[in-house]
Amino acid sequence: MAREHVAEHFEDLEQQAHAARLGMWIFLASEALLFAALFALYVSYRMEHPPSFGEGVEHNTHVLGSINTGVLLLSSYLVALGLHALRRGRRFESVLFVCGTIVLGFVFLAIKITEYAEHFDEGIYPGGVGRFFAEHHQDQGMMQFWNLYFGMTGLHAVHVTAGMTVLGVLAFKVARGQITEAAPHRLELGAIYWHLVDVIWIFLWPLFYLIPTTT
Amino acid sequence: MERVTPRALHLTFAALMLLAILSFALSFVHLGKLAYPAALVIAAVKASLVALFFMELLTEKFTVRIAFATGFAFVFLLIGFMAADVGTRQIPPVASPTTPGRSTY
Repeated sequence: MAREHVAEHFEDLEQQAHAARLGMWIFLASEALLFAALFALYVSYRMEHPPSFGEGVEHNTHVLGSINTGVLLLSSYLVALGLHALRRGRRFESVLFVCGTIVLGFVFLAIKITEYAEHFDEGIYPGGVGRFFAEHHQDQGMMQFWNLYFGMTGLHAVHVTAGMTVLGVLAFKVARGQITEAAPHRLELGAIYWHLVDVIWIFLWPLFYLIPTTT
Repeated sequence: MERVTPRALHLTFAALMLLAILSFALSFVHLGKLAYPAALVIAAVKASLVALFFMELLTEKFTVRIAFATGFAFVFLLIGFMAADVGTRQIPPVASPTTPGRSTY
């Protein structure tokens, strides 16, 4: 193992990599709690207004949201392959896989923007503003559904953007030989973060696109 | 440390896509109240696959697993208690208990 990668307060690279991963997992736990507060709000509002939430789901862009699920799952798979390639010393292949993940991140955001544009066309804006809500007599549950939709998917999109930025920097460093198979844990950290973004979407998808009126 | 093999990554991705297709297909079936558990159980299985194989939790050390388990427990408590609270609230009686001919207890 290359000693030049080891900071002086660590005994070896393995210990340093483990400390870095532990730090990342603790950070991810705090991220999960941030989203958990919003999921709890969703559960609470949906239990109070089940018909409005069911109607909101049925009105949502079912197919586009589902395509985005496939896009994110594929992007997670690619970054996992990229990390594996780096560990095997295949840096070029690793950069290609990670760049593929970033491209899929752009595809995800483009689809999300298309969805938002469709909602705006229908008069659905954040904050219960727009003709859609006027047509539905300012239904409280409907406003809560769309506010949570814009809030949670918007926050998730911010995380996608952050993940793409981090992976972009890491891919650049792998390409320049600053991250190699001798110390691949820096790419591991970026990959783990990207997977969390995927996991959050795995739960957002059924709640906002799949579970219709249950009565 | 033994890490996840490429074969495991391929299989995980295949399983994730199949489960996503299953979720999508089930959304067209009228399951009534079963729609919640069906969609959320599939989502939980998919999230577990991502965590175990893509995030390599399967081969992680004990301290990392503890960090994960603690985060998971607090997420569960936060959402669980919120749901339990809202789900068990009583609607206040609309009429006084002393109103003749109407019992609210």
